[in-house]
Amino acid sequence: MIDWKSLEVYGVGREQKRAWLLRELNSLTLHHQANCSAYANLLAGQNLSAGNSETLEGLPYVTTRLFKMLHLSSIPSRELFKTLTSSGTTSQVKSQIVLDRETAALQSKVLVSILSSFTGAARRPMLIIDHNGLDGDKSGFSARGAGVQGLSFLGRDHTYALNSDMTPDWQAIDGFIEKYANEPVLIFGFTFMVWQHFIQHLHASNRLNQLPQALMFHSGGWKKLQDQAVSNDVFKTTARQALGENVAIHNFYGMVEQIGTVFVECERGHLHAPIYADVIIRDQLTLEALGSGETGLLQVLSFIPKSYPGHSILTEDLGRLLGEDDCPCGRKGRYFEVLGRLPKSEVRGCSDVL
Amino acid sequence: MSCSIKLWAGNSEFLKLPRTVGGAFSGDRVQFLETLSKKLLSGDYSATLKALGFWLRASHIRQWQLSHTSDKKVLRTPIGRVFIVSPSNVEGLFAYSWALSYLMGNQTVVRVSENLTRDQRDLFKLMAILDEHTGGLREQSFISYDKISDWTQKLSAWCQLRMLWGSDQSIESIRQTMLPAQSQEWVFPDRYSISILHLNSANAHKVPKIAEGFARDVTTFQQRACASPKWVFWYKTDKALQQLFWQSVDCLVEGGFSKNDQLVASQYLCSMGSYEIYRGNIHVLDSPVIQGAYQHLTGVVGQSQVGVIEEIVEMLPNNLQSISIAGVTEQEQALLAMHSNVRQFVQCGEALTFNRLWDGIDLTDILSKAVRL
Repeated sequence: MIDWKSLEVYGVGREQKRAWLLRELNSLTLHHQANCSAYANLLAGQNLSAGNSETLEGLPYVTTRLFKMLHLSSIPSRELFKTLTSSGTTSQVKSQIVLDRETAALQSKVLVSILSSFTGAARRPMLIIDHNGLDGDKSGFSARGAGVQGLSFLGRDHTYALNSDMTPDWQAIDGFIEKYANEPVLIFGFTFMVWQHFIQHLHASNRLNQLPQALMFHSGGWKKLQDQAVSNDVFKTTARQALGENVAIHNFYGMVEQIGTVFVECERGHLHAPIYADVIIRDQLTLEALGSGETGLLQVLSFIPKSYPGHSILTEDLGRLLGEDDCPCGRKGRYFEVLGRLPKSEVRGCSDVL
Repeated sequence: MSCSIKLWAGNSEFLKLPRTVGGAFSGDRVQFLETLSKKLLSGDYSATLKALGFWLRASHIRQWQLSHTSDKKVLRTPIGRVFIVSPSNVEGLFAYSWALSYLMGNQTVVRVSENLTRDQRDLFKLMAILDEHTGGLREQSFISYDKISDWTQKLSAWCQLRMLWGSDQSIESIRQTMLPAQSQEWVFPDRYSISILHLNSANAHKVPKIAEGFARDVTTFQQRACASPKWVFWYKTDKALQQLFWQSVDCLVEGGFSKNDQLVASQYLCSMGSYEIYRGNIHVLDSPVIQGAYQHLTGVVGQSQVGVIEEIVEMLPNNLQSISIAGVTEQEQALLAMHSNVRQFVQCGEALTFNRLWDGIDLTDILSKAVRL
């Protein structure tokens, strides 16, 4: 088998990528069938065969909500390293993702491999738009904490921009700006927090053009910003006013069920599948795979998940495939956009005016 | 930190109301409900609201009244102040429990979710108009408030009866709020419902009608109501009749469910060991035992085959509510009732018809005092 490290993140064309990824994913299906009884039952109950799919579209998939309803694990409990939970809103049940050391390590390495193709190999001074103290204990590691920890491998001199009450820590921010105003730096935070607790405050305090050589990654969903009618374009324009007009800003799409293989937005505003992962768009009614330009449910594939059966997941996000191997940015692989959530994706029982 | 409340109909000054005076079934309250019923039945309202109108018809109310006034040695008087928290999955449910509380002479505060459905808006609008003409709601309030406010606390201190409809989680959460020793509480938590079908040559001709009723029970409220059947026990029934039944149901539930919700439900049941035997407008899964009785699954029905009723008894979950039946004798029902937590037997198609005997309780009894004379 070809080692993943020898593959270029965005340099492999369709046929070669499909052949490599399909082999990885077929073998993961077999692995989880043998090691996770609930997954084996799921395949048997739906009359799905394992390990012999001839296309990515033919691979079995697990609905994302199942991770909230069941403890899906393919490792013996003695190998449990940590459990990730989705950040989820308060009333929702959270996903539980179990990791062994091998899977956790692979997540970090792959994430660094993908993101460093944007930042370059050198570690940059890093401003984290969050507060210090997200670590908690390993049994309930949040997606936010995991995200910050994962990206911190790309940076040095990690500086937290917020106080624990989410107000800006101006001493830390101004110190960072003073020190690194003329250097390439890295900024990372969750989309809403970057907007609400950082960019807005830079504007309000008239701190403009502060870090002109910055590269910013942000992730974590657009719902709250859409409620405020803030589009990706508005986000970028406003952020560039505060930081510098040439600042690179990359949103990425990822989820706690597949940490590591993130889909990063390129300079043309398209989310890209790296070699290690892929997306399939499925019709909401028939679940048939759709072609470019059509809107449907996003299925995400990743070669990472070994400790839990999450290598092929049908999400409740809606998206549209935009093309493959031909984005004007030059990156190969599928590129797409996310169009929000399936409405009312959480079924609730005899509930709740709470 | 009293955050503001939203008042949808009735009186906003409910905390200041003097003690209510009067008995159950007072003339003006009966009249108010009768008018409401007539307006709902004659106006441009949804089928759900028309069903409420039909339920509140004058002859129906008179039946209840008769059953309560037959004993001359007992006088029915109100409990006093009633606080009802209603669920959002069955959005019209609050109207039924409120109407009974109203009829029994109580002051009632009903909390509904602030995201009103169209039906709720229509109903509140109509009630507000009737109130303007009659003053019938001067001791009633329909409100919404934020869960982080202290209104649950205030209303729990105010009421003499707290009635909670909702998920186990929300009921447990509200129960953290202290209720005074002199007050009572009734809760209606998550429940699970099933169907037992005994089809044979004697009732085979009724299969289309039974299927139609069953389809109505599963599609109303997208199978989210406590009384919606989730599992079918085939009791001594030939496979060909089962197939005929599912085919008939499938035609009647087209577009009734979100495909994604169905897939989630199917995958959940499969992971527990069920086998998907049919995937159409409805998904049917086969397993020797009930699975997923404590999950909120929609668009799927499980099935098991049984040869004797006693086999079913052993599998019934503690949160069982309704059993919709076809071809099950009264003796068999009695056996099931004595060995399980079942609250009602209904014919297919009537599982969601509200009854004042609900969840094993006579609501008019608990919403009033029986005063011995």
